[in-house]
Amino acid sequence: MSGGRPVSALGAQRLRRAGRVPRRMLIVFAHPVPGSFGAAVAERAAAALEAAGHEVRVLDLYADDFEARLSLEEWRTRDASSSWTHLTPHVDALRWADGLVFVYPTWFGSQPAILKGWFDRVWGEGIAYDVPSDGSRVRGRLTNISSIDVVTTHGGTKAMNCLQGEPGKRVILRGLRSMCGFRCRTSWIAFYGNDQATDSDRRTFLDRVSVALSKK
Amino acid sequence: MRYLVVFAHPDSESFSAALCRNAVDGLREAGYHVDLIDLYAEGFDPRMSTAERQAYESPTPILSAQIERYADLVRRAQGLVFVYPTWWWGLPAIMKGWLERVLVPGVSFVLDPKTNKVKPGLGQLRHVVGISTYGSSRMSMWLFNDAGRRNVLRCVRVLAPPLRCRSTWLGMYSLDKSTPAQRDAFLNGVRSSMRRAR
Repeated sequence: MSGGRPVSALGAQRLRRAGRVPRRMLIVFAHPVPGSFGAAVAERAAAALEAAGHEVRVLDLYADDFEARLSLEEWRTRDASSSWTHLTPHVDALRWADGLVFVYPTWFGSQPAILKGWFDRVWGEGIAYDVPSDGSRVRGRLTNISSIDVVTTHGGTKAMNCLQGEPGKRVILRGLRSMCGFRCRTSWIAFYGNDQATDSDRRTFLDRVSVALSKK
Repeated sequence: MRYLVVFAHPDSESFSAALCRNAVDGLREAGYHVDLIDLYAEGFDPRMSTAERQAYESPTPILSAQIERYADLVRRAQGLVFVYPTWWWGLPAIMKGWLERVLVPGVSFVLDPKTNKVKPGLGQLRHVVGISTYGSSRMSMWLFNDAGRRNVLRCVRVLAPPLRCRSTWLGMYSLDKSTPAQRDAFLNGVRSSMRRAR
C-alpha cells in the first residue's frame, strides 16, 4: 500500500478558492495484470483525484498479495475482529478515508474474488458495523465515509449485465453504503462491452473517469 | 443424473456444513451420482492469477491440474448445487473465485470468434440449486438485493438452456435468531428437497 500522496498545490489552491477542503480518498483496486486497461483506469482515477487537490491512498490488492479467504481462525473470532492485528493497515485505511473509490473489472456479474474477500475480511464487526446487544438492527460504523464511487469495466453489454441482475452494483451501492454515513453519496462509472470495444472507446472512458473524479 | 455439489465454509462443524451433508445425502438417496468439492478443505485459492487472466481469451485458459479437474466435473454434471453462507449479500470470496477461475471460456461458454460475444456452453445442465444461510431477514435481503442468489440463478443459469434447466433456491433467513427446531426443520427440508430433485 502506498501512503497518503502529497496534495497537489495547485489543486488545493483551487479547492480553497471554491471554499472546500481537500478530502482523503481511498482507492481500492483489484486487477491481476499490470499494464492492463484496468490498471490504466486506476492510474487515471488516482491522477484525477490528486490533481483536484485531494489526498489519495491506493490499496492495490493484487500487488499486496491480499488473502481473499476468511480463515477458520478469523471465522471463530469474527465477533472480535476489531482486535485483530494482521489486517491493521487495511482497517486503518478504511478509518482514515472520507471517500472510497472502488476500481475493478466486473467478473461473473460482480466484484473479483480478491475484492469480495476484502469485504468479507476487513469490513468486520466493530469496524464496519456494530450488532446492538438488544437484538435491534445492525448499525453502520463507517460514518467517516461520505462518498463511494465505483469505476468498473464489463466485458459484456449493459443488457447482459441487467439480465445477470447486476449483483455487484447492489452489493456496493446499497449494501456497503448502508454501513457508511447517512448522507453518503454514490456514483457508478461503468464501461460496458469491453470485449467489442476499440482503443478509442477505451480512451473516451478514461477521459470520462478523469472528468467524473475531478469534480469530487 | 450426475450432481456436482460445491461447498464453501471454513468451519466443518458449521450449520452450512450440516446443510451440505444433508444435500449430498438427499441426492444419493434419490439414486444420483454426487461429486463434492469442499473448497476450504481443498485449499482452493480464489484469486485469478496474472497468467490466468492473460490466458483467459486464448484456446487454453486452464493452467493447472486442479482447475482442469473441476472443469471436468462441471462438464459432466447435469446438476450444480452451491452451498454457502451469504456474506455481505453475496458469495464468500472462495466461491466467487471458483466461478471466475473454473467457468472459463470452453467450459461454461464460448466467445464467438466473429463477434467476440458470449455464447452459452452449459448445454448439459438441467438443474441449478442454491442453498444458503443468511444473518439477515428475508425482507432485508429483498431490500438490499441478494447478489449471491443472482450470481448463481442468473449469471450461471444464463449459460444453460433456458427452457430445460430448472432452478431451486433454499434459504435459511435470520439464522442468528432462529431456534434449534427451525434449523432442524430446514435441514430436513433440504434433504427431502434434494431427494425429490430431478
